[in-house]
Amino acid sequence: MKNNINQNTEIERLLDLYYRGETTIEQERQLKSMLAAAPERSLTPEGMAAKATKAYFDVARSRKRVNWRVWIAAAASIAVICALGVTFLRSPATTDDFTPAEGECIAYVNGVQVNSTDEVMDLMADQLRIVGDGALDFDTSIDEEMDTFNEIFQ
Amino acid sequence: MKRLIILIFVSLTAVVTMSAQSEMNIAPLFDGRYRANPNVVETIIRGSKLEKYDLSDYHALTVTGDSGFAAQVVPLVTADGSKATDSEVSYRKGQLYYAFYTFTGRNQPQNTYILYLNQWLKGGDKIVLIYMKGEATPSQIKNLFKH
Repeated sequence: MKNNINQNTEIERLLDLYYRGETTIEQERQLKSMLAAAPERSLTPEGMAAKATKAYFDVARSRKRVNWRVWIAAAASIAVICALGVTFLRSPATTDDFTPAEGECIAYVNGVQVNSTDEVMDLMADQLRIVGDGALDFDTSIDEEMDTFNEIFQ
Repeated sequence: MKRLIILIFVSLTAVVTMSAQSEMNIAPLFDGRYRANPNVVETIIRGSKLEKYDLSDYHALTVTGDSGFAAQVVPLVTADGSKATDSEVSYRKGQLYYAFYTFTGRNQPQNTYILYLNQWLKGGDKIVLIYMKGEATPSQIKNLFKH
């Protein structure tokens, strides 16, 4: 009982300072924790009013947190819409032509379209043979470098 | 309103980043821009004709008589090459002469290959760029060179 009286006195003192705008941050923290901890029935009418106000702002703050879910959902929706837009509105020249249609076998030789499968396959063989020369040079240069290393270390 | 603008900006950035990552840098070279060029051979093969090579896609460009083509291709090839799981690269005269890049599929058996050769650096007049995709291993691809 005596504790409640002391607590109420302290709360009233801090509330008085608070309403006059003279509390320090530490005192405001102390006031908030005292209001939160004190049972309603032990408070004076002023203390109860302050506790109710504090409860109102706590709820309002928690409502703000819930609002973030709406924002996140909105952002996710925008991202999905943009992703679909990028996928479907992208120029077909950069995707369809890069990935030829199923069963396609075609070539453009010096500006002329070639549809003969045999000719196109021959062109493929030629292109691979040319790059193969590079692969051969690569292997040869590796061998030469290894031989050089061997000579140095022997 | 300020938050909305920030969220839209962040969302767009994420989408653009994801989009950019999913496409190879050399892709624009195969958009058909060289098909009417009298110095270019573009080859496009997909499907059954490639089955015997364990490939599903083959797309290549051979440019003859235009050494400047290398300047357009090399930055794109090397940008893709920086993400390759395996690479064989050789330089001549300080320039990229040959590249064999392998991109191993993460959760699928398909591999992607980018091959590049600049003959101009060894007395020739051709530049070849090849994109291939399929289950073929790098050694299978190298066997194709001998055909």
